[in-house]
Amino acid sequence: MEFSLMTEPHLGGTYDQQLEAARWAESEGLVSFARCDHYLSGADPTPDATDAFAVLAGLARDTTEIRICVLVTPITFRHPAVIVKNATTIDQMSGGRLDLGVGTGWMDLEHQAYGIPFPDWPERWSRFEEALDYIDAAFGDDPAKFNGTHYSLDANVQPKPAAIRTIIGGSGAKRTPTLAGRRADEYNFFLCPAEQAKEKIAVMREAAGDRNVEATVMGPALVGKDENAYQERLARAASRRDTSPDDLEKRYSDNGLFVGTPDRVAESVAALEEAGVQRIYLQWLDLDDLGGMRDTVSIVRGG
Amino acid sequence: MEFGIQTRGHWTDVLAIARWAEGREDMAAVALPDHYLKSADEPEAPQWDHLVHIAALATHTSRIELMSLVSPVTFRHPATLYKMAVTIDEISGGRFTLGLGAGWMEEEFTMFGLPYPDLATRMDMYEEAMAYLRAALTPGAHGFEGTHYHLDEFDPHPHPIRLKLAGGGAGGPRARQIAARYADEYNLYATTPEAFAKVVNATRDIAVEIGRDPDEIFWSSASPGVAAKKEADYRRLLEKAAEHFDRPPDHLETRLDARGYPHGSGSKPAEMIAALEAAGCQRFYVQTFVLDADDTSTLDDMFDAYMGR
Repeated sequence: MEFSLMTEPHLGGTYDQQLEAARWAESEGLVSFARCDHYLSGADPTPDATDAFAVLAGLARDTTEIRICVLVTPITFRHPAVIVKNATTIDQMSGGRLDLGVGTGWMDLEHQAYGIPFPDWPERWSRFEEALDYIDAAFGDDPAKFNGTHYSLDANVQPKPAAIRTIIGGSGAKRTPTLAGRRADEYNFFLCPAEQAKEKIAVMREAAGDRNVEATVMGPALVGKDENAYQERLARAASRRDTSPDDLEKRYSDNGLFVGTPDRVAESVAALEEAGVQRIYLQWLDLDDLGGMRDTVSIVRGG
Repeated sequence: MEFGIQTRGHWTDVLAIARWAEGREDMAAVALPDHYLKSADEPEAPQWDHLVHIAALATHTSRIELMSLVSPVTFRHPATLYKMAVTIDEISGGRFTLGLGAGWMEEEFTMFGLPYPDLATRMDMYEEAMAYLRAALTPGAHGFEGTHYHLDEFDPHPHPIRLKLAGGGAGGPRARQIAARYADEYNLYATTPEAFAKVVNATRDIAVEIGRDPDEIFWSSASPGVAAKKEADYRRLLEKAAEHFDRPPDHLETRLDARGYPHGSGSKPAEMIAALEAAGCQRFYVQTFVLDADDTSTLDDMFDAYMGR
């Protein structure tokens, strides 16, 4: 099993903290450093939510080996022309290390607050599919042409990417894995019990046919190096969420998230591997606690 | 007069120019234009995203100011401009100026399918985007309600360290109004000192009318760099620029003179700069699109000529 680090800097985190996390992930040999693309974290506007592409632009130059990833950028934020130019510029500056995740956008609150148009679901899906067509055309041979309802392209688009990998992600059981199988380099979904993961991956593989598409999952872990350490962390996490340790453990466990001591985590990882998952993005929320991040990632990887 | 350099191109060239500028203490800023098409005549020439370049330049420099000169308003929603700009502000430690304009190269919009409404609408969007950005960048819950853009009344984060907003445009009545109200810097493309002074004075008058201290507006200009200390070097640059602009060298020179673009050899470039300075210009960005990034001796000579060194 391979591993990536997933961060959520819309909850806060300076550029320097994101860089420190990325450099640590690089030194550990993780496949990639990933971050989300959100402008708000729920109703509270105070966390310093930075821009994903501006941060990846810096990381492209401040790291050397690790892949850098946006997981995922909502097509509602930027016209596909801007996504294409942001991506190819980062690709070139990083020596072909960008993984580009694209999605429909879902957090209506951030759109409302900043006045970003947020059409209904059918239109977002239609825009999403067209944005993928636009990006494919722009990354393909010149002249690049696409003519849709929402977007159009008729240009020579230079430079072409050296090695941008595209990711389609989402929790759906049918439409997302099918789309990912047909046209992405990677299919990513949120952690779930292994049998559900197996079903989703089967749908994706069916759609992919001969195409080589990587199946990856993303999610958090609540783990400790031994039973005492785990119980302590569980109790702290439960009190933060105003629930009991037992309830929290059950909720994590039922949803397929990583819980417990290294041996228990190892079983979960093995089950996911058996289900066809090729890489796990371990999600870490608190960039003020990079020590906790290092411990957690090490336990899940070691397990 | 302060000096900046406006460059563009492949990342390694942009980086080389920025490092050169950072190494010259008399250089104040590096500016990048924002275009997805180099020109309608060169549709296959590569183009990059200038804000991505600037974010990366922020990690490679520590002193020099970085500037977007300028970004067409219909490329990105002001929410994205705010977030990218404030992130660059953070990475650079408060060295970034975001420039905005109405956009003018119609072909880049039509080719990429980007919106390009008529000029009046683009000016409306430019004004609203400046108002939106000012509201987003000023700590506190201000909000903005326009026809094109809307910002809820909340306090967006992060707050900038020292992010400046620049207005562009040819200096017409609408652009003056917008700059007087919202801009920290007003970049007026090079023109004769008389015309420059007219725009400065008119804009300052508007600022006074709306109750803003007119000295808050920093005045800058830009034009193609065609200057050298020696006449022969100037002639060589003029030929290169003439080729770039696809016109005979003597024709180009007549035009530079008529439009008041600082150029020439000997003491002439510095004298033309001094005249612009007397007209109110505080910083001059020299566009060096026709030079190779590694030709730093030509760059040094050109800036020495403009600076009268």
